[in-house]
Amino acid sequence: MKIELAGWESEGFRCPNVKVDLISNGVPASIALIQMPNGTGKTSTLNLIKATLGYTARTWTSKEVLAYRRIDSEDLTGRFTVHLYFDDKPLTFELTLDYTAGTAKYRTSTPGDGGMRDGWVPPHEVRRFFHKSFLDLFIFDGELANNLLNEKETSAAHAIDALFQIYLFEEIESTSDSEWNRIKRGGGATTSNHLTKCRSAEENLIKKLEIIKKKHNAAKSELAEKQKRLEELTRKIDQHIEGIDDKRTAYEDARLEFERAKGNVEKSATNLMGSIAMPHRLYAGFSTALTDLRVHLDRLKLPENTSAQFFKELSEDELCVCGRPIDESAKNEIINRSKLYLGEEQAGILNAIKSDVSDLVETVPDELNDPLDIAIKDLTKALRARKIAQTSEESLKKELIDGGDTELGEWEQQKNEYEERIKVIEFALEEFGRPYRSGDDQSSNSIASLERQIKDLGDKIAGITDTVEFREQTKILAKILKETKNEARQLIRNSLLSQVNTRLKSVLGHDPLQLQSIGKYLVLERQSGASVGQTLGIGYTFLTTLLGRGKHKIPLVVDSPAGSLDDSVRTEVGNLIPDLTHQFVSFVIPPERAYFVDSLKRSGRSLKYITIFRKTPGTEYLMPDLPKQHATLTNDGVVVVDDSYFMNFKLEKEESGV
Amino acid sequence: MGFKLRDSATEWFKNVRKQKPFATDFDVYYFCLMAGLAAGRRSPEDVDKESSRDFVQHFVSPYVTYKKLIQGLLLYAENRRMGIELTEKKDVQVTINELFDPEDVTGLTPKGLEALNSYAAGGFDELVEKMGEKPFKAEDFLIRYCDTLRKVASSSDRWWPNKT
Repeated sequence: MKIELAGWESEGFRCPNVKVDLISNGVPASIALIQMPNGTGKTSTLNLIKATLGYTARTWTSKEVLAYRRIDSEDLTGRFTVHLYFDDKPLTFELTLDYTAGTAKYRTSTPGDGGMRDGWVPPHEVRRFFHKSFLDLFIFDGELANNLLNEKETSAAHAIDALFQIYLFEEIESTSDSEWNRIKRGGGATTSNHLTKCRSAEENLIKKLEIIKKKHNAAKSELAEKQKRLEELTRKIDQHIEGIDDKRTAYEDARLEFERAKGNVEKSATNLMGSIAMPHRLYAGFSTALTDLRVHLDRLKLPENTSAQFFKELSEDELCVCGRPIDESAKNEIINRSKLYLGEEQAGILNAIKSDVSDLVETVPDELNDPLDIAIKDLTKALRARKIAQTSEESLKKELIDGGDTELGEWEQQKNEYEERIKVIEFALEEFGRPYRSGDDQSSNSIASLERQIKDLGDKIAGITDTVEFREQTKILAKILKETKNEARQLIRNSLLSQVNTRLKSVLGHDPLQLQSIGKYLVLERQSGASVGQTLGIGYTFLTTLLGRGKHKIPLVVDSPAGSLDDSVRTEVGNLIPDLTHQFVSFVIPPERAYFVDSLKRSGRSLKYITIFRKTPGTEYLMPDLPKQHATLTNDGVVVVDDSYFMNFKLEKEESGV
Repeated sequence: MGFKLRDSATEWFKNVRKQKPFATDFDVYYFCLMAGLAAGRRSPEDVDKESSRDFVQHFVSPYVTYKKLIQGLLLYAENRRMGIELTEKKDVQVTINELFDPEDVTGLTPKGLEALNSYAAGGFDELVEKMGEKPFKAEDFLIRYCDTLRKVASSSDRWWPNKT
């Protein structure tokens, strides 16, 4: 990835309205020196370059926006445009400040866009280079150099983090935390305690289900066994009684009568059910109502001979049945009124109802005795007969028992016990086998209910487990990220330290200085502070070493690169810079030209010399000497692109800084 | 939608349902339906949020033989419920159109089937109120049911004209 600064334009700001073009021989100049005397808006220009590239103006307050307007200006907006190349493809950012609204707007242009697009939308692959922390590195000022050595600052660490995107680890952790918080807000209790409780409840239900299933199986076995024993016992009792000569016949008769009576009961019940199934027999009023219905339907002539279909078909004809033409209005009326008639299908149902009423209800002759009543009486009688037969049988047994047949007595008692027990088992089996009902809880003995509750609880646990597990995973992830981040930082720092120290031997060879370590700030070997010149030298060396790592080529934009350096250091820095970066753009003031610019010239790299100053009464005297072919004038600024003019430019009195 | 039976009705009838002459769930439905029609009682909508199940989509033997009579009773009951005299031709026609659909296997529109289910649900409520705890013996229940239904229908004579 290669990024080059091609120039910028400013209009409507505190700094002069200018267009700065860094292109030289068709490509961005390798070294561009922009000479701007104090008060020309150098700081504003640099800030605007950073804000435009870094997308930071969007958060400015109205006051901050308004601060960029020149005091006596009536401009409603200010526009700052930065032109770049990334991998030789043009990329333009435009920032517009609305002084009235106090807002900032962005536009971007990239290859293939066909023009400027609203928003700050650079290609994805370059975005990270415009991250604020990264911009602060390559748009460099002397303060950063000081901060690199200041133990109260963390600029060195920030510089490393920015270039190597260490901040991504924190962003990953933040995303993971945000997701955890979202899940926590959305779900219910997500603590391990709740999970434990749910798991315990599930375990209990599973255990209970196992027990109930065993009980169910045991109950079925016991039922079968009891029924078998009951049968055997009944047979034994029968055989026993039949074995008693004077009781045999009576007993057999009683049993036969009982069986017959039971059969009668079943038959009578079936008969009665048959009568109940006939609605007209179930209740006389139903019969009357159905007849009443049929009579009224006939009176109403329902269903009519004419159906709704007839009228719908008629509406499609040209002539009515009476011969009159059917216009649109008549057609609509016919269609509306056809709804008052039954459809052919409904007519069919109605006819069928009337027919069944006629056949099933009305044609049946009135009987003296209601069939239902007869069926009820028959059943009642059969029940009575069954009761009597049963009592007869029981009486015989009782007589024998009372007469001393203890064995029979015991068998009868046992039989009663079996019958009671069978009832209990059947009741339990019914509960074991019933379907799930909403409202069932862990006290239920229904197998289906317990299985359903276990499933529901399992689903709930899965949900909670996912949440708890997710939390554990976020913690593990955070730990891994932290360790990786620290390890990465350390490896990078160790590697950088070696490279920076090697370069420092050359840059500050006259005044040797080495770094002991690179941490949050740069720690010097055997000394705690450095001169201004040394600080700047260390800063350049560190940053350019840093920026030179990897495959990317980033320009270095520097404000006052040599102001505080003495001559020899200026020379060294001037010699160093061309090797440290593929593009160097520097804002200088006239006093900085000596030694620094000379050493830059000797690099053999293409240099562009640009001088910018304000058009004011105080600079009026400079106008006649402008090299006409190389000067561009705007309403409030002058831009001169000329090396000789650059080197000889001098203001009689510099204006106050902005 | 089909014929609906409340879970509570299934539970209440569970003992007799297992015994002859009860053979199908439609037997239970029919008993409830007739009680509902006799009482002129439909279950209020909010009560019908109680869980129920569609148990069958068509009339079941032996009731399919009397399907038209049941439809006739429904038509009669609904006209009476809405205060429509059987002499009001247009209104009766509207009721017929609303209740019957010959294309459907039940012969009823969704509204018609809903009305029938509503009477069945209301009839079950009536049976529980009048007969109390769930029945145990089918033969005893049948006799008591007939007696209960007659009493219920007689007490709402405005619905069903006395046989003359």
